[in-house]
This record gives sequence, structure tokens and C-alpha cells, in this order.
Amino acid sequence: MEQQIQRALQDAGAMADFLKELEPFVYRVCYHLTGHQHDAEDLAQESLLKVCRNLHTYRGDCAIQSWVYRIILNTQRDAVRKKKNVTVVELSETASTSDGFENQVGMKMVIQKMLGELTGVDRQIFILRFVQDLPLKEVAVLLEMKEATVKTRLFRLRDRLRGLL
Amino acid sequence: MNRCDEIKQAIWSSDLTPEMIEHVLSCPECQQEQKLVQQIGITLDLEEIPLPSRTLLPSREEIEQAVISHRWRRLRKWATAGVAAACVLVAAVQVPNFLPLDLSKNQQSLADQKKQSEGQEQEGNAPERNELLGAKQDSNSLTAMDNLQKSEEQATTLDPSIVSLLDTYGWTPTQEAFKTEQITLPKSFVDLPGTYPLGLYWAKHNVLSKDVGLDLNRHRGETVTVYSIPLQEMWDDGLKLNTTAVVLLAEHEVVGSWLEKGVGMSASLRKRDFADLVKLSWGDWLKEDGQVDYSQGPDGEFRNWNAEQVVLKYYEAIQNRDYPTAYAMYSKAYQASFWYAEKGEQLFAQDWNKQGLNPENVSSVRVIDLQPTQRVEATGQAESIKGERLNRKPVEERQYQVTLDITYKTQVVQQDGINALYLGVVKESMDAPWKIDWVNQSPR
Repeated sequence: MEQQIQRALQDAGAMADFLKELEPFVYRVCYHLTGHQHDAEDLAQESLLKVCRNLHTYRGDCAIQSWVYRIILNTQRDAVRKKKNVTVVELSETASTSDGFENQVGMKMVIQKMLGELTGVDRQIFILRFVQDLPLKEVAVLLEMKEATVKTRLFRLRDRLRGLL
Repeated sequence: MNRCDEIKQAIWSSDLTPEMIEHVLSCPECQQEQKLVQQIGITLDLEEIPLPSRTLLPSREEIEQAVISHRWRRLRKWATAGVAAACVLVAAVQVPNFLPLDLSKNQQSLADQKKQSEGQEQEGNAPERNELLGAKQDSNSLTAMDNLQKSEEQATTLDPSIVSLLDTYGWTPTQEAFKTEQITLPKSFVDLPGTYPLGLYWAKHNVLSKDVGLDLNRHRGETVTVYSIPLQEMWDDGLKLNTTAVVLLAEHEVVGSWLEKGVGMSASLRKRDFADLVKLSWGDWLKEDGQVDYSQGPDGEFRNWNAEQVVLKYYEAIQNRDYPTAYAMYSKAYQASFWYAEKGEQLFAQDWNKQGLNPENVSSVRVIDLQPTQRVEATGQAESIKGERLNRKPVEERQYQVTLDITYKTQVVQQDGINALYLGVVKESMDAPWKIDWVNQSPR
């Protein structure tokens, strides 16, 4: 990987190949983070451009995926800040529980429903922990939060999910 | 907080200790919590993600611009290091001249100092300065200069026959150091089913070599010296790429040569690529060159299987450690992609390793589910760049999402457990069996 990155820094073709390899991974993460195809495409495109421009800052002291996560998360944060009219709604403790979920629908639907309601940091925590399967410590580092804070938010999500089941 | 609450928290934060795991095994309540967490992971893993409607890659211009900036940054870094090295060198030479001045400025006149300084030199203090200079010659600054000289030497020591060949086709070696390696060409350029595609590598590249009148067939089984020589001229067909000439020498005679650009792209010294030269589809060339025989051997057996069966049999072979069968199920184009996967400084990779997804990195695997998926049309057009074109015209292509319960020897891109992978399967020509064309963590 290190050699591939060194080549990418010196050769436009190698850079194109490198980004092409990253593209599905980046899109997948972006889709999970945004939950919308077009938002995911915009976020992935912006993130890949940043990877291309800032690859020289990757020091090899963490996995390249972790470095890319950080770029994606920062890019998403910047995008949210720029969209002044967009209100980021954190998961509410009182979010709807009465959309027919009392009727023992499948867990899959419950999870998807809950994910659909998640935005902002809660969604990032959920995705990094369960889709990317990262340990809580790493999630905290990536989100520049205290591990205890991440834990608290995660358990709040658990209680929320439990309430839906 | 009671024990179960503590363990439930650990399940959610993936902090279970061996003692906690023991508890979970005997506690239905905690088992239920663990099942919920596993279910979340599985549900999210299997969530169908719509394919992107457009390519997400930066434009060629943006990539070029970024790479130019990276190059400049590197150059500036070296230039700064060079200036620093020069300063160290000047200091090493000049400072000793001023040392006596500093030491005696309160006691002697400038003239006396000079006289004393000269006197000291005559009395044998001069070697101290030479020692200081000698010490600096071991420093990075002079090592860098030595390296430069070595590079220049290497450029000038390039065999004249190589320089002449490159010059004939308008290519000029740079002053960068070239690489050499000894390689023994295989006795046959046709591979046995399930073996690493070395024969295919040489057969394909011999097509490029023959374009400049050099046929490697005459040197099968011989050991040659392979030169990889960075060239001054860039490849430019819209996307500018660095170029490297690959030249094979046997007893000072050039026996083969082609051009490499980017990663995994090659062309003849006349700038013609494989697709330009063979004038056949990839599938037809494989047959004409004798690279495949679908009437017998494993391929004869594979012809009885449909696309889904090939995927299932592939994982069955991996589970049974029957790697030759698993590799024999790869399409020739997929086999070729391994040459550049993890090649390092070598001309080509020597094994089937690719991001840890290779069969020999799997400890155990069980297929849980197999579902057809749609192809992503927007993300990258295969063979769009001259040099990587094989002129593939597959009769049929499909892709599947396969859900696996898999454990790896080394967890590189996936962790052990329930994972989804995507596989492309292809019929490379009309009478070819279904073959695995790629394995990836995402659809294409």
C-alpha cells in the first residue's frame, strides 16, 4: 500500500488507479453516513478530491481507511456547516414510536427505520461502530470526542432501539 | 450496575473480555443482547445500496494538477534539504578557518591570529580540518551527492544497445537510477490450469515486444537481465503518465522490450497496446495462442456449471484447501490483474495475493446467501485507457453478492464473521465456461 501511495503521488495514472480502488469504499461509507444516494455521491466526490489533493499528508501511522474516514467525516461536517438552512436533527428521545412498530415487525425494518431517523454525530457513531465495525476507541478518535461521550450516545441509541422492538 | 448491564455495555462497545464471553454463553439475557448487536451488523452489511449514478472520481485535470503539486512539494523538500546540506558543507570547510579567531580574539591581533593559524597548519594541525571534512563526507549531504553521481554513472553505464534501441523509437533514459533484476523465462508461455499466470504474462508482453522485432519465444527457459528504465518522455493521450522502458538483455543482446506507464499498463515502444496489435478479441486471442483449452481438464468440467454454481464451487474449493481448482476458476483477465496487485519493486508480482482476499488467506468459509446484483455502469469504464485494453468482448457477464461466514488467517480488509463480498463472473468467449472475473468488497 505504501508503495502504491508513493507511486500515486508521482504519477497521475497511478493516482487515478488508487482513487478508482478507493471509490467503492468511499461511496459505501458516504451512503451509510448520509442515507441518500445523491448526498452520498456529492460527499464521496468531494472526499475523493480531498484524498487526491492531500495524499501527501498521509504519514502511514494508521490504516489508510482510517485516514480516509477522517477526510469523509470532516468533509461531511464542513458540508453541514455550509448548508446554513439545513438543520441537523439529532436523534430525539421522543422520536415516533407509534408508526406501527408495536406490531412486532422484523428487526431489519426497525433498524432501517431507526437509521433513517438518525442524523449527525449519532448516525456517524452508529455507522462507524456497526457498518465499519470499528472499536469504540477508534470511533472516538475519528470523531474527536471522548470515548465516554461516544459510549453514552451509543447506549442512548441502544435504549432507543430497544424501545422500538 | 449489575453484571448483566455491564456485559451488555461491553457487547455494544465491543469490549468483551474472555470472562464476559463465558458469562454470555450461559446467560440467555446477554445472549439476546449479543444477537441484537449481531443482527444490526448483518442488517446494515446486507443493506442494498443504490449504485452511484455518475463517476465520483476527480477529473483528469484535477488529478494531474494534484500530482504536479505533489511533485513540486517533493522537489521543494529535496531542494531545501540540498540547501541545508550545502550550508553544512560550507560550514564544515569554512568554520575551522575562523576557529582560531574565535578562540583568541581577546588576546591577539588579527595578524597574529592569521600567523598563528598558518603556523598551526604548518605544525600539523591541518589534518584536524581534514578530519572534520572527512566526518562531513559521511553525512547525508554528501551521501546524496554520491547517490547523484551513482545515478549519473548508471545512466552512462547503460548498455549502448539499450540506449540505441530506445533512441530508435524516440525514447530517452532519464538520469534517474534504473533497476535491474535477473529473471528466468518459463520454458512454456502457456500455464497449467490453476498455476500462477507467468506464461500468460510473457505471452502477452511478447506481443508488445514483437512489435519492435524482438521475439521472446527464442529465449524460453533462459535467464535474462531485465532493465526498468525511467524515460524522459511522458505518455500523453489526454492523461499524462510517467513512462518506463522494460528491456530484456541476454549476454549483451537485447532480446525483448516494451513500455510501461502508470500501474499495470503497457504498450510497445511504438506506443501500440495489446488491443492494437492482436486485432482479435481477448477471448479469441486466448484460444488462438493456446492459452486455454475448454475441451478438457478443469475447464472441461467447469463448462457443466452455471454462473451460480461456479461461485459456490469456488468457495467449496477454498474450504477444501483445493487452491489450484479455485485459481483455475479465475478468468484469464482476472488472473492477469494479479501481476500488478502487490508487485512492490519487482517487474510483476509472484503470487496470488490481493488485499488479503486471496483464497490462501482464508481459514474457513461457508456461503450463507448468493444474490444477483446490478452492474454499476457509471463508475469507470473498463479498458478505457490505452495500455490496459485487452479488447475484451465477453459473451455474458453477471455479478453476485455473496454472504459468507468467513475467517481469515490475516484480517486485512475484512474482519472474521459474517461478511458480504461481490463477485463478477464472465464467459470470456462463446465456448468458455463461466469464470470468476473479480472479487471485491463492493459491487462494480
